[in-house]
Amino acid sequence: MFPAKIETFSRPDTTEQAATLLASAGQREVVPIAGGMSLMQAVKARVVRPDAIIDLNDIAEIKGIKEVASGIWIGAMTRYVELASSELLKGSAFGAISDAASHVGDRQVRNRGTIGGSLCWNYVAACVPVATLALGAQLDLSSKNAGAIDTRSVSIDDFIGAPMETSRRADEILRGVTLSGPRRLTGSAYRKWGHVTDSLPVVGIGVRVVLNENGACKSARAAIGGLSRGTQRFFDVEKRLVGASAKNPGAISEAFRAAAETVEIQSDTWASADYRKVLIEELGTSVSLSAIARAGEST
Amino acid sequence: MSDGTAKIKTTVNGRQVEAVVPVRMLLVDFLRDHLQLTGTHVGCTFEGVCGACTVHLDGEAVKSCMLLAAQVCGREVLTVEGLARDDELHPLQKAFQDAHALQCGYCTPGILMNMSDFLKRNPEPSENEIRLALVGNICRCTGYSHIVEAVQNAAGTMKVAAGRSL
Repeated sequence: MFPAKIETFSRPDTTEQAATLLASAGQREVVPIAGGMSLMQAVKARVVRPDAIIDLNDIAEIKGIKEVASGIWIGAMTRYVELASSELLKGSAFGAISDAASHVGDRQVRNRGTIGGSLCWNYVAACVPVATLALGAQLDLSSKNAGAIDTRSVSIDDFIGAPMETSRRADEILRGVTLSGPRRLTGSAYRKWGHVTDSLPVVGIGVRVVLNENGACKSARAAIGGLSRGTQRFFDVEKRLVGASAKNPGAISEAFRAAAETVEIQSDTWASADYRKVLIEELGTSVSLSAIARAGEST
Repeated sequence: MSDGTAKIKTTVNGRQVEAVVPVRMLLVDFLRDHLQLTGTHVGCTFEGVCGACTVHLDGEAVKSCMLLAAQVCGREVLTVEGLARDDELHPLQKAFQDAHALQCGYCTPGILMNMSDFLKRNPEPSENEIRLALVGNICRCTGYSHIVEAVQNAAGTMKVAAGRSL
């Protein structure tokens, strides 16, 4: 596992410099690298053979987690270790992101891997895309066009495509992710199950709920990963979770059991379709109860 | 440079290093083959699964097979060779020796580098926290129990030492 020859390597300080380098790529394969925890595997296996690598690790303007007018902004180059321990995210309406980040790989990987890298890679089984899709988010992307910087905003629903596909154009740099929406009586959570602690999810589920004053679910968003179609909204369970509450966990389990019949579930070396259905029910119930508990604590 | 090489200036174990390396050279190969720092091991086929190549990059534990050497230009790298202070072993090294926390020793450098970063961030870890922090390091000899014990002992020693220096 060694990379094929790479002609050039650059480490820009700003998004604009990175976008300029991408804009001048021409026919060459110019690849931006974030944490590189997935990309480097592909480069070493020569599945990806870049002519040039643009290392985004020096771009301070796309790092960090902060409150903005529309919600919480997370820079694309923010690492899992920061997401997992962020007081702004943990246990809040956006706690699913912290849960997912703390589920990724091992601590060496979490020291390096980034939210932006994970979203742009959109691997078939990944934690952070599922949690982000469950929360709903706006992504801002920049590109250089005729000497000026173009920035566009895309919803996570429009960003996530089939496995390994996103709506990011090859000349664009993902700048950040904005989480918005209600915070009062709102909670979210994510959990995965894998064969070992640091493995990819065989099934991963993220749920965000908004409760009414009586503690019952007013609306829900949910997403699922680990299925052959990759990260996807779990629409059917969103409808079924309305009215659910912590008082009746059985109804939540029933919602996931019924909803599992509406998605395509594969059997593979990791798990049979029937086992995945069990996981969907178990994880879905526990994630929903965590989200409801967090929503109850938020004021 | 667009000839497939990169010029790097970096600090490795406190020493300034300058070199021209192929862009495609992995950090672990730079350390082992270029600097002859062979304490950093390769236990898997550079797939990032064994953790034996763990080093510190700007104080954080990372796997050196997952980075290009060019990426550490301007940064600080610490390998297992830089863990001891002069002739005095790092408390983790001493604890590994005392608790017999290694057999073949192949995974040990990676574990020492990961745990030394871990103990800085979590000076009083529970056994479960230590086990979770070890997820990225594969040991095929010990069954981990002596490693966990050594990390616990080192945490105690370092706490006492920190108390003395206050």
